[in-house]
Amino acid sequence: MTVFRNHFPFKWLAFASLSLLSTMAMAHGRWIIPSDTIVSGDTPTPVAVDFSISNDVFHPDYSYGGIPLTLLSTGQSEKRDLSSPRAKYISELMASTRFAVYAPDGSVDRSAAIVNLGRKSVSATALSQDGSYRFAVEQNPIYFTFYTDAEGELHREFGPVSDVQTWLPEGTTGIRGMKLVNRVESIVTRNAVSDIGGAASPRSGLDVLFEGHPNELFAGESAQVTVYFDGEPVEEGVTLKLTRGGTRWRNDREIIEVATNKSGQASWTWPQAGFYLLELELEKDGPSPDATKERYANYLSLEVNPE
Amino acid sequence: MRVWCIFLAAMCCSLNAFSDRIVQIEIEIPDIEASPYFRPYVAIWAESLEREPVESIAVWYQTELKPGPEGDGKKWLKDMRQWWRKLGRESPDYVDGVTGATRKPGVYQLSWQVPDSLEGAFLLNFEAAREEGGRSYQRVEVGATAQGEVKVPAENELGFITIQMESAE
Repeated sequence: MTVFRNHFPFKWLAFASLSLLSTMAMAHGRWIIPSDTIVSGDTPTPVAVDFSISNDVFHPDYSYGGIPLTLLSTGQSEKRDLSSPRAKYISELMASTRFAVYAPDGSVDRSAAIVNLGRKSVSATALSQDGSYRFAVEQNPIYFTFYTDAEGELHREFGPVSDVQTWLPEGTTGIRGMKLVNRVESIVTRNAVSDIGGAASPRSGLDVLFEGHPNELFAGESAQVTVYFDGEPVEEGVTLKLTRGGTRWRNDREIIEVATNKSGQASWTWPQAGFYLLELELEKDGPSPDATKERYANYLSLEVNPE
Repeated sequence: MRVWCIFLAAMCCSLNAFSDRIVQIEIEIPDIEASPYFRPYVAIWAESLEREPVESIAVWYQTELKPGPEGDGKKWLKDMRQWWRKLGRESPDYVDGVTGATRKPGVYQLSWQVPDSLEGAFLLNFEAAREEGGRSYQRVEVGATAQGEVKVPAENELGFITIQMESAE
């Protein structure tokens, strides 16, 4: 069941801007785009990646992680005011950013340097093995603390409850914590496809497995996936949102939304070629006071070939 | 003397049937079900029939100063792309009397005094852009007659628009 909805581009409210509004402000698109998803030949092939947080799909807006270009150019790093707990927390979060490459033999390499270009961050790797790689932008989980101030206004702050509550003003009520776990990924294959990153089974947390292979997608053909949480197919209807890149050049975002059935499966037909961003989210109750809610969000970039 | 004044006024009116024209605009910001929902940026402006910009009638954007790179929301004014090309980037219009904060869904009334220099028919432009939403743009020709009403049906980010031409005569 495929539903087209009228939704379009925009991003007034970035993750990095920390405007205290709704939890959904975190749902802005993050993405990683590899220079290639399919490569052939016998020599190690470099593949470059761009990643960013943006509202227009695959049009970079907010970079995250990496060495600032100014530092590389001048040897000087910009002075940042890290005196506030929020600035310090975000700085640590950004510093935890890694470009992870899961190779077909099951190994993982997080050593590639990342350069921060202000609007996007970039990195690269070389594919020395045949098979399917998983590329991921990895960060520490993000903790948020929600609270109501003495005037009754709801606020959102970065950081776990255990830290944030030490400096909250008096009269604050309703303090609760949330943990956000993002998966920002794409899949790249050299020569024949294989299990992605050498693993056939779903990973812990939120995961999507394709029937067939996500590097063999063509316009006009259908895709079928199963959504898993902690290795089990999700029971409830999880919405998968697919947006083709280039929203900046069309007034209608042409979003495809599909929901999983009781077996955690969903299917759709690719309307046309292009890079698509597949987004899905799942919220769970959390075990610790720092995270009474846990939110899992996956962002997977998929390349669909013309027929 | 008094007779002269009346005579002169009558002369003016007969020479320029397009003076003292007022446009009454009723515009709806549609109630769109979206999560998250952000109020749209909206620009309304006039152009000549040759699409030469005349002036901004209303520019609604996030004027509130917020922490971080977001600032006062001016960085997204360019997303009202037609308006930005015609008036936004060149003129300080967006900081004078026509600007205001974003509006919540509802129906809003505006009136605009048509400059005497703008004779006959001209174009009214309406553009709306919403974060995590879409963009809509309408261009309407009005003013060929001194009085009259034009209705523009709703389209995505722009609700219905009613344009009423009035003449002070």
